[in-house]
Amino acid sequence: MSDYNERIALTEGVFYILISLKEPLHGYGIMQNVEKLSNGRVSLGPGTLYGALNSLLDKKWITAWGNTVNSRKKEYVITDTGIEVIKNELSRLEELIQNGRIFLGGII
Amino acid sequence: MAKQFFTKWRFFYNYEKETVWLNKMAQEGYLLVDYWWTRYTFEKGIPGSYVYALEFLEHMHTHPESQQYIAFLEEMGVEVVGRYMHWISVRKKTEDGPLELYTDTASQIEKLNRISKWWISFSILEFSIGLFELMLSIFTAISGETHSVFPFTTFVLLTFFGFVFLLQAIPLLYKKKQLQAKSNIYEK
Repeated sequence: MSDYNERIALTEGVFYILISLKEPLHGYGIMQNVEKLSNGRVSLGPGTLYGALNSLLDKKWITAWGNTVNSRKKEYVITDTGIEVIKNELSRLEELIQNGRIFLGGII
Repeated sequence: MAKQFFTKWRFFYNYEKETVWLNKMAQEGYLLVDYWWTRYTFEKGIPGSYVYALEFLEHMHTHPESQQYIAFLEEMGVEVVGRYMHWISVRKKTEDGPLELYTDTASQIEKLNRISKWWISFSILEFSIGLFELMLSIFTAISGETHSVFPFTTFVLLTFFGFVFLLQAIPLLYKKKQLQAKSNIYEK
């Protein structure tokens, strides 16, 4: 069950954060993974990442994982809703790519 | 080898100028290790080994939410070296990469809003009290009571500072406008 607007695009940062959390991961790991996945193109500042993680927690697209009292680093993992979000995002991106290709096909 | 500490007293209205100064000091080998209002404590170290930034929190640095944010920053390799009211001075080892707290336009705009909101609030406070003092001085003048210049002088001073504080908000709001224009085209 999703309670979000499927028509609104995600930011790149949020997209990459979500797909980094298939398995539980902490903030630093997320930042590193996003840099790796995007070949250094997308970098997440600590302030940006903090804000994004809190928003994602509020929306319940991710959840805090594990023993957050004792462990020094808090870890996060994607929820089923989050996975739905990614599925819809992919459809949106495919639509963009398709239309973009048609556009360029007409020009080249 | 014994650590060498230096204390400098400086007053900044503009946090961007303050950031430039902290980084200039760092380039010269003076690394900020503690901060309180206008007192800056530096440690002599390797020139350019750290890069500095200033963050303005939504709440006082003692607030639980601020504490959470600070803990997260430290996890991310950003060290908090000074805390005063809503301000924190942070630093990162230069070898660990650039120090950019916010990499998206929306957060940058939020930060500018946080800071300018405070300047404007102080400004309004100054103007309000100033207005009260003005009315007080007019009242005492009309009623013919012993006339003191205190209320009127206070009014002038407060109004002056009211404008000074308002002036601090203006470059921030200008920068915010630029970022908003940028976000019309680019995502961040």
